[in-house]
Amino acid sequence: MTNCLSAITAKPGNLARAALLLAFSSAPAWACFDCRKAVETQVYGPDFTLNLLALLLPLGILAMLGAAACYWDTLVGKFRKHNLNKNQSTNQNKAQNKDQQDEQ
Amino acid sequence: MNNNLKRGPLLSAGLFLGMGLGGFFDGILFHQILQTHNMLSASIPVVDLVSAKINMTWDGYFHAGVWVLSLIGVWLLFRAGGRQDAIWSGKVLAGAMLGGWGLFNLIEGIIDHQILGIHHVMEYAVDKLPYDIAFLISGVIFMLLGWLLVRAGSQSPNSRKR
Repeated sequence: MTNCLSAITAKPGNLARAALLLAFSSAPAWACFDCRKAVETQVYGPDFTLNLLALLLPLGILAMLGAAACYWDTLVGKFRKHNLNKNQSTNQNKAQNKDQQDEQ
Repeated sequence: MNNNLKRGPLLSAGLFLGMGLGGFFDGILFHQILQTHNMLSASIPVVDLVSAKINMTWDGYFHAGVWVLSLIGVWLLFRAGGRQDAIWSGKVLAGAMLGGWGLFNLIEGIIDHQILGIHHVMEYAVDKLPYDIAFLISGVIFMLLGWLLVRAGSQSPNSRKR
């Protein structure tokens, strides 16, 4: 024990290291050592899955939206194509109607 | 405009990064620094150390979730950087990130604050609604600004052509 203490106090650096080690291993460094059990019991209780799902629900929706953006160009392309076809058919209908009116 | 280059890969990467970093911003500023709310502070109000630590644990799960979103964003950005057919522009990335942040505020605000009611922006205020609405509006504004930036970046001749 005396040898150990003298080894620690031999250099200021050793003393600082020992102090750091003590600070991180002593009881106060453990966040709420006394209430840990109560916290764990309530967090990992019967409501755990429900709470986790509620918490992850928006993140899941966000992930789906982000993944959908990967296909942005395909989706926009299809939308444009659809609109183009729609416009073309509308124009064709208009032309046909005009022809029919002219014939009449 | 770079019509031949795809915007999707960079958009998706930016959105994921924006959603993840937006989540971290929310967690760091509102949960930890200002402590205006925690993840489940409406259903488990913070009244003592145990309830504070329960909320702290759930905040941790939330942070783990947004960490995964950020990680996916980094992976997608790396993939987009290597694609010859994808647009590579700082404005598009910044706009997508801003849009992702806005999307986070909007979706998280609608689901957590309005539908599920597990927490509110100012949990301990008498009237919580104005703050929740302001949060939603911030989401819409971020999305609009992000979209403008994405458009400007897509049309810019400085966008890297490969």
